[in-house]
Amino acid sequence: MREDLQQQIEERLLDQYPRLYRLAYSYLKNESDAQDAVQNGACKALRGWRSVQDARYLDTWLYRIVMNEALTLLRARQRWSQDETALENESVEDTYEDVDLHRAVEALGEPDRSIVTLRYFEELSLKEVAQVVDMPLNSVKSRLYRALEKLRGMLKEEN
Amino acid sequence: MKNLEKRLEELKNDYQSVPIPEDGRERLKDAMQKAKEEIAMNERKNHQNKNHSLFRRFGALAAALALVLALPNSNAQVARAMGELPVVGTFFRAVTVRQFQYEDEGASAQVEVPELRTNSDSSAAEQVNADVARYVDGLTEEFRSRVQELDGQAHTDLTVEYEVVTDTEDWLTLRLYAETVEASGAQFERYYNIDKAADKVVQLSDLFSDKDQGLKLVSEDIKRQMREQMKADDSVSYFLDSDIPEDDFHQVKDDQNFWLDSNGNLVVCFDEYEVAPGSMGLVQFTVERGVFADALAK
Repeated sequence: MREDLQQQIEERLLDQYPRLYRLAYSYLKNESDAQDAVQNGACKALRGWRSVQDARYLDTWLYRIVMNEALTLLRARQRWSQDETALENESVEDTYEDVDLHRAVEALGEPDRSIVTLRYFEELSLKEVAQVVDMPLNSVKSRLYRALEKLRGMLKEEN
Repeated sequence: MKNLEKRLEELKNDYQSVPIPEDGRERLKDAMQKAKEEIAMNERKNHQNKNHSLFRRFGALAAALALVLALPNSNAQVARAMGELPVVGTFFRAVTVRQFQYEDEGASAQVEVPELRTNSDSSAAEQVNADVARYVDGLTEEFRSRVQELDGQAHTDLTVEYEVVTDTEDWLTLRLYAETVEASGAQFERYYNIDKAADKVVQLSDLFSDKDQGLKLVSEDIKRQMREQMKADDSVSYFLDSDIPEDDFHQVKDDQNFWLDSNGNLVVCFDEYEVAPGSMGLVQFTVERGVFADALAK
């Protein structure tokens, strides 16, 4: 049981690596931090194999772990960046073409930002998004709807 | 202004074009390999903790026992229980009703399931029998699933034995002993005390008319003995007067394991880790009858 599941987790992690890395990168904007987030998440997943309730949802479970790991790192970094290291982090270049929209998404706050990211950039179904953020499907729907309204509002103000 | 959905769609392309580090997968593989080795090592170490779940099972059993009792509150009964007054009581006998033996290259089990037989109907005996069966079934079930899980790759043992430790005219104590051995071992025992005349299963707090006072007297005497032993021998250690007061031993439980010896002294028993480090194993303290005689049920 354990070995089987651990092996499955391992295979999924390797298979999904690019997506998990991009998700982590979208929060952290930094290659080595994003790699750390995925690796830490992977270790937690292997250790936490017992909490897999249904192997069919392994992928969304892994998304959740990596997302939480990235958010934890981000928060830790934000605490640090209150001193000098702030400069270094802010110098990360915004390479997105639609800078306004990108900034607006980042300004949404959690969990709305994650919901938008997972739905539109990772192209998960609403049901999958609900599993990743661990919220009822209806709450995800209404949050997503309101987040889009917010984005429209923010973009209008800027124009 | 382009509509939002469209702009999100375009942003997705940016999102997805983030380059993936070339060595990322390899590094992930290495990290996972290390994690797996660590997990395997911890699991070996943690078998002890795993066995703790068996303690919890015992706790549940004790709670089940505690439900049962309305009590034999007469000093005479307790005195008889202690073997001082001859009374014609029910005749009890413990017999092995089931055996479970298992042996393969990795695992072995020797389990004897006792039942109390009596010469007349006894609800106390029935109750003990049911509890014993439920408890032993749980242990063997756990053993079976461990055997499957380990699949011959590690060793696991289970032993369950019983013994009648006191059998007077009026009192019977059945001791059930269980031991599991994996990377480390764990031992458990449970004492079933029956007041034969009242046909009741008796828990510790039932012995006293003033339960709080009785348990306190017994607890204080145990603490005194613990301190004495620790003072006399450096290798002896109990959870008492330590730096972590919340883990210290404070008082015996209402349903603390106990039995009465033939002189009417109280023997209080603790599970592993309950009041001492695991290295101390199962520990027992004999509390002289004089210590708590005044608090006994009248």
